[in-house]
Amino acid sequence: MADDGNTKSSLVENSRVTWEGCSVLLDINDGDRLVFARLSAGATLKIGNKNYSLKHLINCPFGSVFSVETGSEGSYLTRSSPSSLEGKNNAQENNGCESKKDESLSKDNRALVDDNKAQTLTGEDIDAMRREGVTGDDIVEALIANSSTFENKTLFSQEKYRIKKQKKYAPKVILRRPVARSICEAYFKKYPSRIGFLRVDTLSLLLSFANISANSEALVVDMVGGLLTGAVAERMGGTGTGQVCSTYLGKTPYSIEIVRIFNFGNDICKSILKASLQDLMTSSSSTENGSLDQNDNGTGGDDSSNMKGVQGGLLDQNDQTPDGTSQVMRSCNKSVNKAGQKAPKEAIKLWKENGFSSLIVAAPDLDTWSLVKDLLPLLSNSAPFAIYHQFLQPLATCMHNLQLEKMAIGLQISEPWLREYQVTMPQSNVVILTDPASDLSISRNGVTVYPIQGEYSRDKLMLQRIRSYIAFLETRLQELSRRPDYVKHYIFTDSDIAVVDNLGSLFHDFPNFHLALTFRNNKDQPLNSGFIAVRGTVDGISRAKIFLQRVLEVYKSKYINASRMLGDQLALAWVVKSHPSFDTRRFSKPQPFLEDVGGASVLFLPCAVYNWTPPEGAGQFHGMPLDVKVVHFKGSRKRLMLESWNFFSSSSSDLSDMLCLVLKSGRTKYDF
Amino acid sequence: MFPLDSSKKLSFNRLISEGDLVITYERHDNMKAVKVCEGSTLQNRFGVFKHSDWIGKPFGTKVFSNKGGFIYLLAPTPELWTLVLSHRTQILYIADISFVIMFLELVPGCVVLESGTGSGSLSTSLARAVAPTGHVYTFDFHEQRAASAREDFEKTGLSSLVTVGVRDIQGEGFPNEFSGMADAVFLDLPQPWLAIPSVAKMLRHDGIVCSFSPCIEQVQRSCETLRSNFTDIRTFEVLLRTYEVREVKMDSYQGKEEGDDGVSVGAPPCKRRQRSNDSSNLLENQRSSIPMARPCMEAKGHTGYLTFARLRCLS
Ligand SMILES: C[S@@+](CC[C@H](N)C(=O)[O-])C[C@H]1O[C@@H](n2cnc3c(N)ncnc32)[C@H](O)[C@@H]1O
Repeated sequence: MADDGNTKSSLVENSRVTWEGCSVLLDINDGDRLVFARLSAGATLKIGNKNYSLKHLINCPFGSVFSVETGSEGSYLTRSSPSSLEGKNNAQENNGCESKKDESLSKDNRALVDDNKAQTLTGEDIDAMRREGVTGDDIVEALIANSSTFENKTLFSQEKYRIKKQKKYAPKVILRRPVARSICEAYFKKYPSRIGFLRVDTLSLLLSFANISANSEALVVDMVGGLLTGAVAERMGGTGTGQVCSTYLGKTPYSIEIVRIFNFGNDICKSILKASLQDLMTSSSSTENGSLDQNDNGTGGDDSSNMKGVQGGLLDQNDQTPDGTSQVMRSCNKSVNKAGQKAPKEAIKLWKENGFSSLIVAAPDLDTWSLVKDLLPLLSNSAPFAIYHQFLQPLATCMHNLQLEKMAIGLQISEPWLREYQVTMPQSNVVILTDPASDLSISRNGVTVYPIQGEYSRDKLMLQRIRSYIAFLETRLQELSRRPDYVKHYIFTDSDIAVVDNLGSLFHDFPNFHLALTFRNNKDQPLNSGFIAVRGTVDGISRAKIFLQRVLEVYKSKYINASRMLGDQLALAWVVKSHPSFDTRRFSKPQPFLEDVGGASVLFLPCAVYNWTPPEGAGQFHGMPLDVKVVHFKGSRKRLMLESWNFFSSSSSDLSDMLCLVLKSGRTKYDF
Repeated sequence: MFPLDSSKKLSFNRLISEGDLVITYERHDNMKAVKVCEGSTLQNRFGVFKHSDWIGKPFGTKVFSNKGGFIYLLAPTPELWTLVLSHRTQILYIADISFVIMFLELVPGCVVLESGTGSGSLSTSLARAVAPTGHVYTFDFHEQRAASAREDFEKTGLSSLVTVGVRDIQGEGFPNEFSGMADAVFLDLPQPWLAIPSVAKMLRHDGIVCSFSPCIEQVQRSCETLRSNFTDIRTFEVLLRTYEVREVKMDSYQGKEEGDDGVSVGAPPCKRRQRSNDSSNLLENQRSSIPMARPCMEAKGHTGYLTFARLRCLS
């Protein structure tokens, strides 16, 4: 796939695999540190207090992820296999995957130091573990297990502790392609002043507005370190005839060392030229003057000091490998040196005759208007131009003067505004608690079948349901004891229920309940068991469990002979009402309220919103009140489920997981 | 549109000739795409413009009507085209377009798949980015729209770079012949998540997909689907605010405010007005006028969210 032999993949700048001498952007610990580096056998990268060789990064596809492993020669970076990656990335979304991972963790406890006094591991201990080949992840577990304070920390700070240790002992390094986008983002994050605070969306706009394409003849004033010149050259791609001329005032060209970070091949490097503004403006006979320039040999020279700042902990690679340089590297370096050569006289002559086809100015330190006034005459007819400034006023002045002098039309000042979103799904996983005998094969994202041993005969069904809830909560408690930070909230529902709105907000909006029940104004059956929400904290789950155990007892002792579909609700109501301070009059108003019942803080939610039932006897599904979050197709209303499915699909594309699941089971006839 | 053929690379210097596409500019908010045709005329509120007067003039020229009104003749660019094309659908505008091109990391030679084509507003910029050696394959299931888009690409001279196919991408995915060939894929579809499994097949290693959706619910759904085969899933919103520049005349005020030491910030406005009426305290030559910018009223609001993701690195 990587090598499809088309002409393009043979170009250095488009290669999807690294090579010796290749420039890369290393993303360490998810953007924590961004380091530009050149790969060679001798290059190293410092993370924490350790130096890692970068030689293992050569000949790897961009996008690869590396982690630290320890062998006989010490620690080194090694490519993580995609499968282990997947496990990590999906941990939060995929329960099934999670439990497997946990098993392997608890089985392999080489890293755990048995020490009941819970002392902190020493540096030597950690080094010893490393020598034994214990992985970084396991070292982190050991550190946690041996931290006397960890258990006493709040969940939040526990997570912070884990992340901190992870970064140090199990760092993650992603190999990224240095392109205009990634280079601009990295600089903007780490050294924004070096690129004149030019944000990536602004850079994109400049390139578009200036109509940069393969055959452009672009004039740039680049006082943003070469980012602009590089970005323009990248767009031209070296395949056409396009050239970019980086012009400057005075005798010394502006540094364009960022160009070196791009992996430009020969063709692109040759398309990057420099010329002083004076040479471009004066008549061709006087171009000789410019040849006094000290810095004619492109970007190869004095840029290492600047590079180092960006590289952070990276040692300078080139100086360290005087002999390990391969053919590729040499040819590459040679071509890099060519970037930014002084424009030959013929080129200048052609530009003067024909004009540049585009102009981009990013010169925060120069007076915009007087600069632009000199530059515009160098453009060809109807050529588009774009001027960047971090401040508004210089642009306003420039635009005003351009209008007054009638030098340009279609002028506009635009300010891009960029926001990155953290998109989190209301991550609901559907777990079906069921008889191990019922062989449901379900393949849908986020749906798992969870068999629980028990008595599933028709007369015991409702009893078994409470038992299953309790059994399930028990497994969650075990899980939490292993991973205290893994808090997920749970809602038990009947299978004839459709969730039509986000219920996650419930746990934020009412931060203090352990479990939630739904109620209605019905003297005999005020509570419905079709909807029980449980807060996923240890406290929430434990108390909900005790509460349900109480309901189970009452069911068995008092209502075992009640109609088999009602017993659990009656028992539920009995437990609630038997609480001395409980006032049943509160059921008459459909308002949520909080009450302490047997040590659990119980939130009572109105059925009208959280457990709404369509009117009885309606032959058709006519929709529902707007605020309804949960629809319960009780009794004969199950007939309406198929119809409501169609209603939902037509009224919104945002189908509820649960509804979809129930209907997919294919049961349209219910014999209750 | 942009210099395509390297032999006439300095096409901006070319003179307008029969059959050229020009953008006629009345005002920044009043432009039109016109194909130059010897015997034709353009008529607007400024009068009648004869195409024959245009031929042989350089791009950028001001041309006059029978009544002495004038317009400018601009060389077309994808940015101008986006402003003048006929809207057969909702279209993407410059802010989103430029960001998409940048984040898809397009360079000359790339192969891009797109669906739906819509009015071809984005396709034009995609073509510019991959020209002259790359190609854009764009698909729409609406036959007529595809045909109109094809005509437009003919008109803008991009037909050698853009191929329009009629296909239900949500239902059938992209054609298998592009498997593993695409450097980037762009989706502007109502249910993009349906096409994502196919996108994973089309992309080259480390290839990038972008999906544009107006609603966050669509984004969530897409992100959920992307998680199985993609990494670096990022969602952005880009907005563009425009400013207008006016010369503002301001009386500059000198002297002290009634004996207190020069701090006029807290002075009540009524006092100030009295002062400025009192011309003895104002020197005529201190009436300065400064060009100043203020945000335009008709700011463009939310267009949509751009979600990008990279094919997960296997093997
Ligand atoms: C909003 S428009 C795209 C606009 C385009 N990005 C532009 O800038 O001009 C969406 C297009 O997607 C097309 N479309 C919708 N569903 C489709 C499907 N399943 N397969 C292919 N095209 C589809 C529609 O016909 C419509 O033309």
